[in-house]
Amino acid sequence: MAVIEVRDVHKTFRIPHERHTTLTERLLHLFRPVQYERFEALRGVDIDIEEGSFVGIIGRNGSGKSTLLKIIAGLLPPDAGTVRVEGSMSALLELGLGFSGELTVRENVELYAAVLGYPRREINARIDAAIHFAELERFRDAKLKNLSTGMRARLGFATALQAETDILLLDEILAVGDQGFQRKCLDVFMDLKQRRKTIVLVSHDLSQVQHLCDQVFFIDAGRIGAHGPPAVVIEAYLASVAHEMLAPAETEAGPAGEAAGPAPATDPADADAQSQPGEAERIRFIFGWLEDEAGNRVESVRPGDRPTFVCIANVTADAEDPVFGMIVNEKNGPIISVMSTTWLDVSIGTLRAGQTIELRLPFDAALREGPYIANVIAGSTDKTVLYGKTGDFLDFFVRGRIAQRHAADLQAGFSCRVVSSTEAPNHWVETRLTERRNAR
Amino acid sequence: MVNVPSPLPLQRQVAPKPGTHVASGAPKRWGRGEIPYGWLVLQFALKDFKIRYTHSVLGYFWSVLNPLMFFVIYYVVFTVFMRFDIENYPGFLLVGVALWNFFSEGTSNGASSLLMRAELLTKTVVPRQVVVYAALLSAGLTFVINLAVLMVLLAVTGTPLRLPAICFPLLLVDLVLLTLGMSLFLAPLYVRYRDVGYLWSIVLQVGFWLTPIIYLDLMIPEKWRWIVWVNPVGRIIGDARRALIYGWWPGPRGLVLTTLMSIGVCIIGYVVFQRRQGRVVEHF
Repeated sequence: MAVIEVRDVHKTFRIPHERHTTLTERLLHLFRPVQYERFEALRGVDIDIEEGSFVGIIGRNGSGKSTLLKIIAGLLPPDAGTVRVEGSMSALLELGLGFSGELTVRENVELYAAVLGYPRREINARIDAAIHFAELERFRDAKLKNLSTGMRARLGFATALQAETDILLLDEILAVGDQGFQRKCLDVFMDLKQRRKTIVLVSHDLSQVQHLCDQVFFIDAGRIGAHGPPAVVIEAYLASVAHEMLAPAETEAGPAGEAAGPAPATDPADADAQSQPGEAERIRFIFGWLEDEAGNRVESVRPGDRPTFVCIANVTADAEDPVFGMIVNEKNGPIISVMSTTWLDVSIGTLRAGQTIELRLPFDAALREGPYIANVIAGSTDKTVLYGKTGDFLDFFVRGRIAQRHAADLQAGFSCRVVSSTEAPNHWVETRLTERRNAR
Repeated sequence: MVNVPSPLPLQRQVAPKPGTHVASGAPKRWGRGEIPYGWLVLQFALKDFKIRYTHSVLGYFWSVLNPLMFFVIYYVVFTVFMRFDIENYPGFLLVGVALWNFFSEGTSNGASSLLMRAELLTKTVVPRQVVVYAALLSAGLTFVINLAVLMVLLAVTGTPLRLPAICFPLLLVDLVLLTLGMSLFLAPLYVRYRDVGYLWSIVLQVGFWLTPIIYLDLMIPEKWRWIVWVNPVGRIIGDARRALIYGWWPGPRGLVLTTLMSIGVCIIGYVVFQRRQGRVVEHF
């Protein structure tokens, strides 16, 4: 049975322009109608959430995820459409809000317990349990302002978890505290899941979504882009991100009718195939390797390291201001992260035929243990033409347990330099290749 | 399992009909069920009250001290300097100041309550009127302390409570309804137009002098006396004094009219609040 039923919900925000800054200007414009910017946050969203499911909502910034959550929570009225919610519900859209520094830890939890709606009979036991869970018993009667930010976050989280409502709405607040605390939180989530509680989570943390959720909605510009099991939807989401990076601009802002169709491409290869015209490649990736911070070539990294991918490529035809991107996949798994030089505001300039270039792409190995593959792609400035892409030679292994949160943002960087401008120096590449073989 | 959003019907873009949100959850939890509404209000009010007096040496004592100081100033100015000759002027003044203070504090707290709790209201599911009630209750706590002091002072100054004093609770109910109605009316407007805050403080200033608090309504020239009759706060204060200090029965017709006025303000306030509360979040 669906406990949350969202039908054709629309929401448009009117954002007033505030351009009158001086008093005279304000007076002059006092009786003039205010100019509004219309922003369609949601354009016809349908969602059914079954009892006992752990649902993730993903999407780009400004795609309407949080608006949807707020509408489900009843914090914002929808412009059109209906929302039906069955059962008790509590929403935690920000950690530690409503907490007052001047009150003690216990008083704060008491206040918050009232807001979140703890059952009256168990209220004292629950409050104690929340403080216990947050590991703050020693500070029970300390004023909250004397606590660290981490402690506050833990307290907010623990308090929210104790609410025990049928439905829990969470916005980007899963990962708090240290590793031990996070594990505790995950245990609680598993427990809630077993007890048929419904949890809706808005998150950017794809690896978290993948691990926790049974089903995921991908919101794309105010509409449901894809819906289904996490792996599939995350893939669709990342494909759409990659697609945007390399595909013609008009596919993204397609006509309304098109978006009514089934979910967009699920395979990044489709995106590549689409944007691959008959033109000859201009940038031929020859090989690449992974370097640790000291500059040694490595096959595996530890989580938290900041290794660098180095790629060598030959420019076979003049390429004016090309765009480079990197996609990191789990081996035989979903895309973890996508980086593009357009996002980094890096301009490469014109590459001439015959040049050999070296690309350096440093990134944070904030990844779980396991095998990964990175692909580097090059395209034209307007992202319509694929200039070239690496084979699957950029594979690497992450060893060791992750120390911090699961992050999909690898903080990737980029640099490119011309190392040789003679004709493609095949002999030079050859030597490096042998070196690599020996290193193995 | 792929949800296919239907294409947008054209007329909806032209005239968006208000959407609906049917949640069986929230009302069940905050109504009569597991979490009585009152408890939430009480929690807010108590914490609010507590925060207000932290970091002060005298603490809650200030809530008594403040009106008491005003009482002393008015008393000195109007009996010693201006030589008012009103029977039992201390008692007269105390009742007026205490009741007016509640109205003034209650409405200003209430008016700003939504905005003060904006963060909470935009991020959690709380029935919005709760914060207005809490602001009122917080002012009410001060008022209760003041009333207790008032009773003690009345006893000390030798003003015995006579039978008509039983009308006083009804007058208090009227005052609470009036304050509540004004707060509910002002709170969502305040969110939309911050001018309301400034405007209301002026109204309170003017109201203080136009209401017979430090003077007697009979001092007003006959042709201006309607100002007092249309002012429900003035009516309540007048009747409260008659009942408490002088031991007269308030006129029944006047009392009924006052009550009707208060209920009317309350209903208007509630209706305005209900109509505006949905969109309030968008204007924070």
